[in-house]
Amino acid sequence: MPINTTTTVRSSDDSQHPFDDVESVSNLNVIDNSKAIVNTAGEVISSKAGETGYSHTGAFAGKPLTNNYVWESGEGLRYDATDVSNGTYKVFSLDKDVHLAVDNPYWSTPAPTGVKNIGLFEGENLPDGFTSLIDYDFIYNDNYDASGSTGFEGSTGRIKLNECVYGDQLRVRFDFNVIPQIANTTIEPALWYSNRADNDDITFTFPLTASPVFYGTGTVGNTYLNRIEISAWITSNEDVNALTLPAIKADNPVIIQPLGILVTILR
Amino acid sequence: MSIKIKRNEQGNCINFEGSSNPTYWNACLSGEVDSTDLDTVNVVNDIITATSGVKQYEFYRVPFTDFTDRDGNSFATAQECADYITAQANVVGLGGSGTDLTDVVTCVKLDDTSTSIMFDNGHAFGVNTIKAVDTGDGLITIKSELGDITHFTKLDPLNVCDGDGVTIPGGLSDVINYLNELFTVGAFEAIVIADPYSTMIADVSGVDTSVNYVGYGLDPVGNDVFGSTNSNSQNGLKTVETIDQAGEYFTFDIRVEGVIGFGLIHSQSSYDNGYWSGNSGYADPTRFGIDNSAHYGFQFSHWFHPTPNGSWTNYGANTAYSMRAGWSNFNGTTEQADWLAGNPIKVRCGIDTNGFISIETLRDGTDWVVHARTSYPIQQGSEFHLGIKTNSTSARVYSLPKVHLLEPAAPVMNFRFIESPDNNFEYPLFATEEEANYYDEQNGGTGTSHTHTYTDDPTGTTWYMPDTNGEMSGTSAPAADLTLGQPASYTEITSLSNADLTPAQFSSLDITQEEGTNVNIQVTPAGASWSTSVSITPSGSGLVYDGYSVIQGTLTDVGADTTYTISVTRANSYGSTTGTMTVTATDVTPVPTLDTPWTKALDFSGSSEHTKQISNYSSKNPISMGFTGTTVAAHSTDASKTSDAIYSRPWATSVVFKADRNNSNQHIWNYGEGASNNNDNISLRLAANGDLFLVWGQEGSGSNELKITTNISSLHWYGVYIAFKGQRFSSNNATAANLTDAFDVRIMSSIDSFASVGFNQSGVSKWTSTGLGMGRAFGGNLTIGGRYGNRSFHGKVASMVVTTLKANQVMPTDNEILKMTTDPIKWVNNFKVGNSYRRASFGSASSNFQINQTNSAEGTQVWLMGDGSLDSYANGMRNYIQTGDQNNTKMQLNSMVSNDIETVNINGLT
Repeated sequence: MPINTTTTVRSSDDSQHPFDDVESVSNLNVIDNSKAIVNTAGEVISSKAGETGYSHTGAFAGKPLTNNYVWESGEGLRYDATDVSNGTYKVFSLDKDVHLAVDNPYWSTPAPTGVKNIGLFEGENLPDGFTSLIDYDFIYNDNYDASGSTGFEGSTGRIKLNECVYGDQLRVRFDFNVIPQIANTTIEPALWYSNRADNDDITFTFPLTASPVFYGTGTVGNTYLNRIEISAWITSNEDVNALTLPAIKADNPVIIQPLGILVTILR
Repeated sequence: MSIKIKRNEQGNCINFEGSSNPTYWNACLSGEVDSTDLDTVNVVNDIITATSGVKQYEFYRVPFTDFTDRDGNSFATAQECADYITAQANVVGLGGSGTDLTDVVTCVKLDDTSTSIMFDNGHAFGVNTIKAVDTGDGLITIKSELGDITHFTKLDPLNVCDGDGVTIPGGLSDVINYLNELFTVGAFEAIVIADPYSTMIADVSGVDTSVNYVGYGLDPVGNDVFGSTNSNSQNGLKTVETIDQAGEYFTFDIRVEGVIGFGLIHSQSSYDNGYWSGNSGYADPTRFGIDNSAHYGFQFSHWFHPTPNGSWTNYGANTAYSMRAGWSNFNGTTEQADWLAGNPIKVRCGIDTNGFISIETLRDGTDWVVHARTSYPIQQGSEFHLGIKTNSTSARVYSLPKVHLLEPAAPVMNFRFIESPDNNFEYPLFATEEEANYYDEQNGGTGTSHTHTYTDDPTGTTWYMPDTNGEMSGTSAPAADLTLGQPASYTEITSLSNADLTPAQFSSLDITQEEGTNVNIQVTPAGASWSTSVSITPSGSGLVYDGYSVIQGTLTDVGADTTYTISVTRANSYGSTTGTMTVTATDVTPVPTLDTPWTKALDFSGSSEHTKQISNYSSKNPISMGFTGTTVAAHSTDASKTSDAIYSRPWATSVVFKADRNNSNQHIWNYGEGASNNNDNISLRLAANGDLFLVWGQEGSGSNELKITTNISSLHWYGVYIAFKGQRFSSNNATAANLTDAFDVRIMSSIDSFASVGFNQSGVSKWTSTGLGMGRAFGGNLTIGGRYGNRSFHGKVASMVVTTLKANQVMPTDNEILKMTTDPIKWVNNFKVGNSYRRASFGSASSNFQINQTNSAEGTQVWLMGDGSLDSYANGMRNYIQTGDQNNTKMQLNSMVSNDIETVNINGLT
């Protein structure tokens, strides 16, 4: 029998969700009971009726241990003058320790699965057939030349696309704070993206950019939340095997506080 | 990436070059080291922060290493960087306290036009916009004349020099006077260099002091009060009394040749308060006479020595000094002789009116002559004892020193006089009422005074003159005033001479403008106090003086460039000056205002070249007159009008052409049937001899011919207008008189640029052939450039207009004739469009003539011979009234080639 229900998930953890925003809304229509996940009481707690799914993590490397991995006012990752001069897309790594510290379910109903290394939802809400969308264990320098020039050098973690199929669309919502240090600064958020051949050789590296964001006079020293959405298609083996992490480029030094990414696979 | 912090003096702002930040005004920003990240710098917008209550950053936590100073130098610390930003972003000088010029030599001059004051530190001001003032610190302050902006402070008068680098002589007042004269473009030759320090009125008699002796110093036996038992510097005489005001001093007598010095010693409190300058050890009053050095204890002292027999050197904490006249002219004086002879001479040590420590001797019993004084003023609050030391056991102080303090009731007196007007001297004048009243009282008055202001005093000061002893008509400058117990020399109030007060000569750059240009020249500035008169030669410029300040008007059209000289005389009670300028009106070729382009023409060169109107229907040809074969009566009542008969079909033509003067019989245009016998034709014919005819003829039968003109020139373009009133006569009635009445014929030319339409050429005597009956029907085509293939024209035709006229109407005016010939497009727009008209074969009128309307195009044809929008060799010459018409009114080109459409330049039209 079809179930028609709406589930709204609202954050109660202000450190991760400062605006008490709606974390997710799923309107499940015509749920196929044969694919519904039920608990021992027979209640529907999740569903994989649709093939679309997502994962979220706030496990950005650099979050301060001294403040329970919550950015303090004015602190953050520096996009400095050297980065400006070089026109660098600064890649933001993921850190397993941070993941374990911050990606903890804040709800009790439905009961979290308790499975780690997958994301905040502990494996729930993933697209059909996926085991994870985040690889916290990936260390770039262990696999490639640490003194190379791909832009991933020194990075850790990656958005894992290996379980995608041709035709999937990757949609990443990149949440971060920006603190302009100089007036009239333009930032360009992006996914830093490397296609890889089946043997994991990197073939092409490029940014998949979102629209630039401009900070004019009167913005310096203030903190601005951005929730940028970036998309990519998955249409070849090189896409399925791609490396990608969020990144930012700017024309002036800025302080970035990466907060989280919501990785969605659309079908 | 580096950000260069650079102040823009001209813009009074600060730039951060290399960043995307905007420019900020002075006094908006400050730098600070970030409280959390000590290697970074914040730049705070103080204005927004103050108004909003929330700290507003312009740079936030930027590493100090990202910044450099204006020269590209890095900063050593974040604090140094922040301080530099604050300093560069908050530069004083345009208000507030001004720029400190301590120890800065500053030269000042006027520019060549005497309109700007230029400082060698790069600043410049307009004359009469700044002033030099004495603010009581013995130094000069430069302020704005209006408002309260201080530009410079603490300018030492000894550091002021002129444009040649020559130091300005005199005391504080003299230098201030010099500067103010410069700032007001005054009369420099009138400066009197006389430091008014001697006009101080202190207690002339003085009061005996109490003295203490130090070291080997003692009161020797006899009348002398000071000597030393040792020739080193460990001795001294020091008064208990002190002086602390400008104008106060000590006097005493010395005698017997020997090394002896006298000067001022700080009181302990004065020293402790830091009022000393120079070497603090030397200035320490507790060291006076204790240490074996002449320096110790003195702020400043002056020493006599036997070898020069007088002034020798200076000792003290700060011995920067100004050598004065007494240093060198002591030699040979009675006083020197007395001193050498062991007789007492009088010495004065004190603070002069300008705040300098001054050492003087009395000359001839009346004049105090300065030997040396400090080159620096002492600080307000300083307090001094008198100190005397000797390096000789023979030198003596003869009399107990007296202290001369300012009398409480005696103001500082500065005696001044003015020469106003030239050769008239008025004195004494004082800057304050208190001085004047004091003088009055001391001279037997009741302590009253009156005021004067002088138009030639550039400072506009109100001066006070005592009611007693005042002189307002002196013939020469006053000598020293002796009425107050001591000589008081006068300082002249700088006044402007008559020449200075004569209005400045008018000057202006010469002007060159096109004729017809509006000109507005201000010859008298607002607020001017002089009268102005103006003359402009030669007359006829179009410019007029408004009687007060402005010459204005529109430059008259001129035949050639014309220069007018404007003489401006300014006058007041001191004299007059005259300055001149010129205004040149340039001749401008008139800009064509015609709507018709007149850039093209058809060139005919015989050989049957001609154009032919496509249709030969009478309904498309006004000259066909409806193909009516009948005589027509003239207007029944008014001979000036077109015929009012039923078959009245009046018409008009106008053609602009230029003939090659080929020696042949040629038709410029022709309407009719051709060259065969009995063919009827109406034409404009050019005879081989250059005579021009209107012809109404029938081949084989004769013609009515009007000789319009004779022997036309190949050098000029002609316009021939022919209007026919509609009356058509039998052979008997085709008389010269009747024909004369039936036509209006005009000829214009480029000789006068087509300015005049001339008179009607249809005169009785000009009808050279008559008697041809006019009642035959006319068919055929209109041709231009010949009569079909014969009588071909040699020359150019630039336009052809053929139009119907309405019956029973007045004939076209001269204005319409002119327009139809010289500007057919404008003629159409002004005289045809919207008006009633007659279709070609109709007797009555139709309403509302319109462009691109077939009936209108039947009644009027305008061929622009290449200037039409669709005219081309392929398209033929289109009728401007209906350019799309190809079947009726188009002119087709026969026996012609494409380059027969030529570019032309017609004087008066193109």
